[in-house]
Amino acid sequence: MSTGTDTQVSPAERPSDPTDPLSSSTSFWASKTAERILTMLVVWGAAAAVTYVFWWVDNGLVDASLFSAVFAYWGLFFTFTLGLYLGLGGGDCYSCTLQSELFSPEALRKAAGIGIAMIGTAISVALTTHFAQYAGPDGAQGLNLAGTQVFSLLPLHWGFVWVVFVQHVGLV
Amino acid sequence: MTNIGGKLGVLLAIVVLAAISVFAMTALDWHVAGSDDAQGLLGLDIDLWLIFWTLMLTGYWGLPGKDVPYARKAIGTVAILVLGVIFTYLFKAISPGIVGGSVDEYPLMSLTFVAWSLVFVMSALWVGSFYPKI
Repeated sequence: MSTGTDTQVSPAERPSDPTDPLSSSTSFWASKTAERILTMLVVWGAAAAVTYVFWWVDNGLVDASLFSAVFAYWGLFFTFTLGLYLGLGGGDCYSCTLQSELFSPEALRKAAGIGIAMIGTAISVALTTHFAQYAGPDGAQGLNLAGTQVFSLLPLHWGFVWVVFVQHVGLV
Repeated sequence: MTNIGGKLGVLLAIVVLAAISVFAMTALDWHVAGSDDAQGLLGLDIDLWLIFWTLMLTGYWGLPGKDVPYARKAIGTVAILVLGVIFTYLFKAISPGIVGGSVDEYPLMSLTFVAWSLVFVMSALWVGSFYPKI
């Protein structure tokens, strides 16, 4: 029978401490709602930034007909990577424990997973770009590499594939 | 015991729904955009529709086997698709003002619609997720 002293209580179940600056009762910014709002801002800010980079590289890469899809796919990618993979805003309060767990084995494992996904994405994009030339102009039209119009979508698709891979294969 | 029949049923549903989505959206591409280019994106669309319906049926609806609030999930499914349509047309309207160019020929209705639909089903999974934080 539990005496109460040996029972582990999750942070969410602990009574609020008025002296704790991260207590949900003392600050809206420590709540899960605030964390999800901040995470969404980060996700869509990152999506806008990446879309802007590809637009800045060459206006032809992200024109009006592609802007919506490119922006949406990068938002999707960061929602999955930051939200579902890293767990920002998805579980318990992230910021409440971030400082103490930043260099935990779990955090380092996630960082390693991101690194593997980035390397895999770079290799995949390089290989598909290289071999697409053998498909000829018509065959390569599926990726539209000749026009480079979906250049932004290419690393995105492969990045998505690799993040899903490292998560579900169990590398992280 | 593994529910093989249920899984095969879900797999069949995913393929059928993805095929219907592609053909319907390709037809809409031609109707809305008036461009033969819509057909060229068929190969890029089908994998995304397969991903979308896989996430929707297995992740969001919990098929096969999960006991979910069907009415709420049905409303959520409609909301996700409606939001996809709204954002598709919203960005079609504002894109020329943001990045320049024209959307007179807009052969990306299917690609854009499935992108925004994926965004919202992924967001629904994220908000409802129990993935551990790092």
